[in-house]
Amino acid sequence: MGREWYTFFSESEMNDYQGTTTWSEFLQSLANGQLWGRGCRACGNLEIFPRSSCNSCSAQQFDPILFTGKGRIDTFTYVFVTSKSMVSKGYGVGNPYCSGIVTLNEGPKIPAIIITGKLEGTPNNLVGAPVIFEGCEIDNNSPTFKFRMISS
Amino acid sequence: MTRKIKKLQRGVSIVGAGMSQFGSFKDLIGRDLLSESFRDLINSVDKGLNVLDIQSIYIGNFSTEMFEGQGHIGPIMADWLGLTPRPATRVENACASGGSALREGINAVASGLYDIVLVGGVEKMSSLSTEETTDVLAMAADVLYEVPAGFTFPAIYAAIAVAYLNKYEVSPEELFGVSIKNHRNGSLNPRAQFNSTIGEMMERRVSRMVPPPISNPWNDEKEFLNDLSVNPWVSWPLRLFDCAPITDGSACVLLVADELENLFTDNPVRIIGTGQATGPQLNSAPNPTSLSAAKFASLEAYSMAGIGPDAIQIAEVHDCFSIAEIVATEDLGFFREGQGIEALKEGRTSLQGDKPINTSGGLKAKGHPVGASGVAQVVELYLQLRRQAGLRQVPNPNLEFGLAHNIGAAGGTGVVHILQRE
Repeated sequence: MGREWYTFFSESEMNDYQGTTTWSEFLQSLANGQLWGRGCRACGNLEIFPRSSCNSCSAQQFDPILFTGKGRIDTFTYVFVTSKSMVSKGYGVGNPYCSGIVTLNEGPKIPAIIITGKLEGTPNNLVGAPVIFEGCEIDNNSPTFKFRMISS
Repeated sequence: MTRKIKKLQRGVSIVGAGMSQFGSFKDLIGRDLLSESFRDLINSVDKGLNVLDIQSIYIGNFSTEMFEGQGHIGPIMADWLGLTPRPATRVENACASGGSALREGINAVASGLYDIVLVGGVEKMSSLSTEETTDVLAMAADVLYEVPAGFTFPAIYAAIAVAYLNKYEVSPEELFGVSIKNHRNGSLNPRAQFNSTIGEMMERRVSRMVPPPISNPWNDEKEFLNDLSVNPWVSWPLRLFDCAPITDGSACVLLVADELENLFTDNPVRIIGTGQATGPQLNSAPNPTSLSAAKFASLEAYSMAGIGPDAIQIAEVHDCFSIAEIVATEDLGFFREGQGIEALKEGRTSLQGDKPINTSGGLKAKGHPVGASGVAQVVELYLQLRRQAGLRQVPNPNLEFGLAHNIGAAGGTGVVHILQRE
């Protein structure tokens, strides 16, 4: 995992703590259709979500990073039996949708809706397929990232 | 600072174990289910149990607020069982609530705080519709970004399955073997929700056909499972029979300090290893075909027990989905990465195999009342190690070590316990 099991913050790390992006600030950064994240000043790890600490080294100082939005599908599924909220959007057994994990070209991964068009028959294998960030819907304080398939 | 893995401060033994019938019971509430498993536990204690000797209670439960509109169930259940004013604590760690409650009970005895502890797990799930239950279970995922991306729990495990199938060039149909094996085991477990083999279910379906078919529409269990009309997609490539059911049920175990075990039985089962760890969501996992929390938890449990995966002779693993069993057997070190599916196909994880997995029927066939599952796994191991498992008793005459593997969500929590009967 790139870090020691049961590693705790050192005193100097705690002293260096300068706060991180709040969830609200993160959502605002997505509002203009751009895909912002952050880079860890200590180890250079890039990530999307504004956790308290770096997901790789647990340091707590970051620089904002604008990602290209280009990436590839790491893994995916077509969801047939779904939640009430997705059913209310018209999805379900007769109209499955594709959810996937996208690995951006810069490295971070994002769970996202993959825009694929209507499913006909057994799904094609989309692992490794190139995608591009289409935008982000924010509803009830939660972002739905959407990526569109592109030709390689 | 790296934590050194220690032994328990004093030995902890299981001297009683019970479970309710698992299934879908519209007329029973969670309290009825816990009462049933508690009565079964009392009857299981060889030399008898005065319930007033119980000093503390830990209850695994995921979401009784959503399923039954009742929170604060630690003291509610203590009162229902006639055990007030003893302290009672509800432990919530999604599907690993039961295993986590067991670990808290072990810590309480090992620390010397208490000598006799009741650990229970309970979930009443059938009160909600499938869609509503899907929403409740999804609360254990990350609701800020996994759920908005359309990930239900089956969807998360389906994505794990896609990664596994691609990485090791396995077909989705090869996963049918998990369901077939676990239903076969469940058919031998009278407490299982699905107390029948896939073949028996197939025959029942044929017998209900109107008009009766001229010939059997399916030649075998795999053909039956490959028919989308009986085994539809839930989240591709996972189908209905790849998924554990929605279940009502409860399970209990009685823990005592090992110096007291002879007061209750001459045939105790000792807890020699306990491990628990956290892990990232799927989008942060460096390897989507492995749950790191399970690996870390097993590392801690193996180290504490002083044995490795080769010594484990029987295991109950968290098969909430077919792919989860395959991944579990690799995370626990039973088989190398990518070899779990081969071990299944070779029959190594069957009741007669060298590494029997989910002899109870597992979550798939026995059922998966979320907060109870981790405790019910240990009930099965207790029965197997004491050679009381009836028709599903594994044939190994020298059964000594068993392992329980309980997962919360898609690897947010991993809990592993190792049991020994000397």
